[in-house]
Order: sequence, then C-alpha cells, then structure tokens
Amino acid sequence: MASSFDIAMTRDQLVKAIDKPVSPRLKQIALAAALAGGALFFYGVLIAKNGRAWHALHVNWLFWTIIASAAGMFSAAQRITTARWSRSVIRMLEGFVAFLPLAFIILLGMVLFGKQHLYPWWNLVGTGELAHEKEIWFAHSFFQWRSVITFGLIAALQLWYVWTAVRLDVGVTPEAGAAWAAGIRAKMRAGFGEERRELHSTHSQQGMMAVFMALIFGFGWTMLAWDHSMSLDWHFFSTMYGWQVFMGGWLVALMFWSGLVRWWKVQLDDQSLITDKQLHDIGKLCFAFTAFWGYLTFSQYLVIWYANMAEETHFFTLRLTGIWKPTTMAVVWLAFALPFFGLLSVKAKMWTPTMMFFAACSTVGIWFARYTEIYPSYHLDRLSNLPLGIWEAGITIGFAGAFAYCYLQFMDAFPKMRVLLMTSPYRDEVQVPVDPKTMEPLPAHE
Amino acid sequence: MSSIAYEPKRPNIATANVQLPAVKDYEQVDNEIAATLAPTKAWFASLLVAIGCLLLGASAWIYQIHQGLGVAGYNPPVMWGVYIITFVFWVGIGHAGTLISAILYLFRAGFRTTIYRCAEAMTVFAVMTAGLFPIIHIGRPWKFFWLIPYPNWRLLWPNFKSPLVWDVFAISTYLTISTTFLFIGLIPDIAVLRDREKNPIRKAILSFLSFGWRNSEREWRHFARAYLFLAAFSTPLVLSVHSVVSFDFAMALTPGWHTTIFPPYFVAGAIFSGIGMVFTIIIPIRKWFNLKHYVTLNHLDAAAKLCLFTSMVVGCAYLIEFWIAWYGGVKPEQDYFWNRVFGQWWWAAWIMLTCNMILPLSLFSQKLRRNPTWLWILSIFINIGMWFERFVIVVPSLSHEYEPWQWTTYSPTWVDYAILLGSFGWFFMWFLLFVKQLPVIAIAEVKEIIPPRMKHADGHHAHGGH
Repeated sequence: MASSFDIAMTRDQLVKAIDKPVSPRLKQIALAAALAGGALFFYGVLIAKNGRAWHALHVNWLFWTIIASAAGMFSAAQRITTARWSRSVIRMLEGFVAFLPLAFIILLGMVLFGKQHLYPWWNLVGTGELAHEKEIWFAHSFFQWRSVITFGLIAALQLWYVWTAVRLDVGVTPEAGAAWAAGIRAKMRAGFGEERRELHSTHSQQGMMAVFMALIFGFGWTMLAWDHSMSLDWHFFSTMYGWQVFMGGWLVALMFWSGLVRWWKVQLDDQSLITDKQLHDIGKLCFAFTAFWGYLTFSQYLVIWYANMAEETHFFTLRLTGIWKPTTMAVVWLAFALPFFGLLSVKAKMWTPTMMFFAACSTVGIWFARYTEIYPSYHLDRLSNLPLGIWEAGITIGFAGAFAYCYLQFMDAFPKMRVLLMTSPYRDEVQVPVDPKTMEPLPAHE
Repeated sequence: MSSIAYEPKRPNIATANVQLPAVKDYEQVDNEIAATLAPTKAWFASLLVAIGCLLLGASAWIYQIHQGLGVAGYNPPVMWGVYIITFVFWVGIGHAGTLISAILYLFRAGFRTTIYRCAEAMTVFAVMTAGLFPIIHIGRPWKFFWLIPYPNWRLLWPNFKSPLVWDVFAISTYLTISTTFLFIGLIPDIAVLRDREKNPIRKAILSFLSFGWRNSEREWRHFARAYLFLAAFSTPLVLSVHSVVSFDFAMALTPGWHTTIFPPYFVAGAIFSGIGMVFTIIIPIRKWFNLKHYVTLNHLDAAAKLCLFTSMVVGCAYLIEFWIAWYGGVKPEQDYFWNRVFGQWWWAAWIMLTCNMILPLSLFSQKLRRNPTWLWILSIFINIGMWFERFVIVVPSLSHEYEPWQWTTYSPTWVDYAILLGSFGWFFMWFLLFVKQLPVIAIAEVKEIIPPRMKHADGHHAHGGH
C-alpha cells in the first residue's frame, strides 16, 4: 500500500534530481563573511584589545553551536521514533553538524586563551572570594577538561551518527560531489556490503547511538549552559537554566530548517520531492517548539518572580531595567509573541514569506536571548549605552558565514536526501522492530 | 549501480499487515472488540474488590469527618501529607492519557492506536480521583465551594494569587476537555455497538450517545476536524495542568520546593507515571480479553521507549536538583537534600530513585521491552516510585524547614492508608465499569489502518482505508 511518504521515481532519477552542486558564488560569500568576522575578532583581541570581541565570540559560540548540535539530535530523534515523513528533508538539517568541528576548535580557544575575558570568576578562584562550592566547581583544570570532554563527546557522537546516515546513501549512489570529500566518500564505500544487510545493521546501530546521543545531549548541554552562561553570574542559579538554553537552540535549528527546505526545493531539479505536507509539518514543529520554549522560559521567570528571593531576582532585575530592558523585551516579542501568534494558522506556516518572517523573528529573538543571558553578566549596570555595535554585528556575520560555509561544503559533498531510505525496496522493513541478524520482523505478539 | 524501481506494495507502518498482522477485516475487529463487553466472573470479582476498597476508604473518610482531621497523621508543620501526595499522584496518572491520545495523535505515532482509548479513560477517572483529595484534605468538605470563584453578597473571592486556586481552574479545565475528548472519540464506536445491540433500552441509550451517527462522509469529516481540534486544544493542557500543580510547591519558600525546574519535571514525571499505569492496566486487559494481536509487542515496545525517555528526563531533573542544591551554596537546601537521601527520609528517597531511575534502565534491553510480564512488574514499581516521589517532595521538606526547633516527623495513620486504598478502589471501579460498557480499544481507528472490504478484492481495486 503506497503511503504519502513514498516517491514515484527510481533511484537513478532521484540521484539525478538531487545531484546539483551549490553555487560556488554562495560558498565564496559565506567564506568571505567568515573570514571578515574572524579578522574582526582577531583585530579586536590582538590589536584593539577590546573585550567585547571575546564576549561577542562567546554569545555566538553558544548560539550557533547549540543550533548545530540540536540538528544532530533532531536527526537522532527521527531514528528513535522511526519517522518516515522526513526522509527527503532530514539531510538538509543534518548538514548543520558540519559546524561542530569548528565549534570544538573555537571552544578550545575560549577555554585556553579567552578564559580571563570570558569567565568573570576566573581570577577569583583561589582568592577566597568565592564560596567553597564554587571554588571546587570553577577549579581551572576541572572546568577546562569538563568543557572540552563534554562538548567533544557530544560533537563526536553526532558526527559519527551523521556519518552512518550519510554512508548508507553514499554506498548506493555513484561517485559524485565536491572533490574535497572524495576520500571520505571512498572510505564510506569501502566495505559497503549488500544493501539490505547494510540497511538493517545501520538502523540497529543508529538506534543504540541515538539513545546515547539523547542522554549526552541532555546532560551535556545542561552542564555546558551552566558553565558557559549561568556561571558568568556566579551568584545566580536556576535548575531550569540548562534546559531553557538548549531548547532555544533547538527551536532555531527548526526555524533554519523551515527556510532551508524551501530553498533546496527551489534549487533541486524535482520540486515534488519536497511536499507541501512536509513544509506544513516543519511549520507545525516550529510553532510547537516556540510554545514549548515560551513555556520553559515563562515557568522559570514566574517561579523566580513569585518567590522574590534576592539571589534569584537580581538576575532578572538587571535584565529588565536600564540598558538591558530593550533586548530582553526583544526576546519576548521576537522569540515568542510574534512567532507564536503568527504561526497559529495553516496559511502562515505554508506561505513562504510569512514562515520566513517568523523564522527570522525567532532566530533574532533567540540570538538576543543568548546576548541577554551573557552580556549583562559581564557589564552589570555599569554602562550607559547598550554594547551592541560593530563587534557584535561583525562577529555574528563571521559565525553565520562560517556556519553557512561548513553547511554548504557538507551539502555539496554528500547526497542531499536519504536516497537509500527513499528508494530501497527494503526501506519499510525497519519500521517495526527487526532482528538485525535474520532481518526478519520480531513476532508482533505472543 | 542498479536502478531500483519504486514498488508501491511494500509494507509500511500505517497499514495493518505490519502493525496488526493478525487483524484481517472489519468484521473481525467488531466481533473481537465487542466481545470484551461481555461480563466474566473475573470481571465481577475485580469489581467486587474495587468496591470493597472504595467502601473501606469511604468509611475512613466518614470517620475522619466525624472525628476531625486529627485522626489523619498530620503533625505540624507537616500539614500536607498522604492526601496531597495522593492528589498529585493521581493528577500525574491522568497525564499520560492525553499525551498518548492527543500529542501522539498529532505526531501520527502508530503505536498509540490500540492503547489510547484505555489511556484516555484512565485520564478521566484519574482526574476524578485526584479531584477528591483537596476536598478530603480540607477537613470540612462541605466548604469546598469556597475554592470556586462566584459572586456572593460579601464580595469574598478566593485569593487569585494563590497557586491552589490556579489548581482549581487548571484541573477543572483538564477534566472537561479530557472527558469531551474521550466522548468525541467514542461516538463512532458507540454507533457500532448500537448497530449490534438487540436490547431496545440499551439500543436507545446507545443511539442517544452516538448522536444518531450514520457513518456518512460528512459525519466523518466533521468528526476528524473535531478530533484534531480537541487534540490540539488538549496538548497545551498536558503541560499546563501539572505545571500548575508544581507551582503549589515551587512558589513556596520551602527547602526542596522552590526550584525552577519543577514545571517541566512534574510534567515529565506525570507522563512517566501515567505510562506506568497504562502498562498496569493494558497488559492484563490484552491477556484476559484476548487482545494480544491488537495491543502487540511492538506497541508495548514503543510505549516502553517513551517510558524510558521520561524516566531519563525525571532522572536528569533529580540530578540537577541535587547539583544546584550543592552549587547554590544555600545551607538549608544542602541540608535538605542530604537529609532526603542519607538522613531521616533516606528509605523513601531510595525507593524513589530505585523505582524511577534505576529499574527503568532495564528498558534499554529490547528483550525486556517486549516482555509483558516484566513491563507489568516494572509498572508496579513505577507506580510505587512515583507515589514516593511525591512523598519525598512533600514530607521531608515540611518536616525539615528553616527553623530547627520545628523539625519533626510524620507517620500516616490507618485513616490515611484506608483513604489511599479507597482511591484505588474508586479509580478501578470506574475503569472496570467502563470496560464493560464501552470498547477499550478504538474500533474506528483500528479499522482506519485495515484495507476496507472492496467489491472486487483483487490487487487492482484494493486501495487505502477511508
């Protein structure tokens, strides 16, 4: 019985339809933006000696890295739920993980070279000014190793997972794609066996990996959010903080995806590969996670506001007064109010201009959320003007360029859709639990 | 490279041949599910036990009303005890029903099809049970209406700033929507029963309840839209209800209570406990009513994954609470958490941690996920663990607040235990009555995934379900 998730074309036709290189001009623009942002950062750090270059780096590292990592996790969630609807579009999200190696290098730079600029407590450790617990938690080596190992583990697992997904498609398609990845593709093809066997063994392996990824993602980002955001105001603590931070990144990953899927639909030769139903489904996910992020954020705020305890309220008082108030209100409007009410209707989710408008609102809103979490902790109420200018804009453009460049290089190198899962005659065998050895479905009942 | 043509007849998850391989046609569905409505000796025996427990609880409550609230185990300042714990427990149980019926419906998760009716009915009866406890807890139940905001001549209103009043709104909304959702979903199934019914009185009642359903295309269109609308409407309620219940605690400046993670942590815990109760109910039902080929091992496997996921979310929240209590450096919080795990209440905390965090890890094993006996045993542990989670939240906090001179202990009395038992009697009485009056598996939704009988049942004419 055919389902709405199936496509009516052969594998060769599909490969032909999606084998369209990304415009070199686009990659050049992305690279130029990345280099310009990088140059501005190094100028700020080495020549102008302006701490805001580090601060802008910090905001953007959190913003872009959580997005990339959330994309990897979303892909794993599709495996856990054995989702079929996303087979033709999930690669367009998986490509985000290409940013993770660069994010790892930037993190190394942050904890090794930026530590005194980025973590206001860094120089207080060992002076007796910090509480006993913070002395232990912020011990320099412990902090550095913790950050590197936690993020390293998240990134490595996600890259490995995407490798297994891409390998299935590379293994059944003719050699094609960007030259830089020819060696990777050859490695993927080496030892690629019979299609049905590969499908089952990979599916089984991914099932286990996805669960561990979920664990590492949840615990890891909770801790990274404490260490790299909450700790900047070391008197403040909130149990919700980590979840609220990484769900913001998750939301933006979906918003990006809603735009990229539309873009790829235009780029690819066969526009029927991406259906309106899929666009609607992604729009619904964007709406749902806007509501969920709003729920987490408001719950955290309400509990703190109601209890009115100084060690908690000072965090919000600072952000709701003075120069920080406009950015905090921007978060409320852009990340929640506008997309929530705007995306209620089917038409708004389906019509590209409205969907892109609300996706842009959400993206800017969550960027401001990261900014508002981090910047006020550095500057407190000492400034008379909002520190939002060339450093922040330039370095954000740099990160956007780097993210886009990594993404486009990835998408240029590997099949843009899950070719095997869309065209294999065995593709639906993995919809029910299967014995990976015999490749037969497990008994449905006793 | 081979060119493999798309072959449209491969099995897929939305069809019965993969999901329900032993279910072949509409008649089989009607006959087998309607057969569950015939009372059996075991059903009568179970109902008798449930009513017995209910009577015991009711007697204890009458005794408490007569003697005063002092017969319960309250020991100031521990003035929230078994009743509030049990209230939160039953509200939590009520969560999985809407998650399974509404949220998984929106996510088009196939495994919900055969378990959602049971979960939905469980939700309604669990919330009905939970609603009794604030009334029992206030000691003078005849004054419960003071919680309801209504115009009165003295212009006295409940304190709208109190989360306890928010509870009244949240839970009454949830009960209304869950009941409506359950009833709307039942309409086509009631029509099936009506058409099979011979007894004229029952037929008239079923006709009334099915709103004269004629199975027309127009009715199905309206039905589908109403169901989708209610599913979307119910979804935020899943989050809001238990979040509001969590505010009863989180808004208070009591060690262990005032923590921002409570809203999502309570929601995750509620879903976890609800899935536990779904297993407790559905596994015996599938065995005793010969429904193993409807509620398949694949469905249990998928539900067990959801159970494992929510267990891990809850576990993550436990660990975050411990960590923040230490990191925050607030001495009373640190003492409270130490007391919780290694002090006065260590046994309760370890029951909670073992049942909710450690034992569910067994569900990483696919063999155990597909073993109904283990799932049922585990579900009992989850029910116990989640009751103790609320015990651990309520009692250690109140018995160990900021002032050491107030530190005390708490022991429930036989009245508390009898009323707790009575709540199970009340819940299961309603559930048992439900399963003998209305289909426990959604007939219409099962039929949706079975190929309909066609005039020419060859491959050329057969096509998808309605």
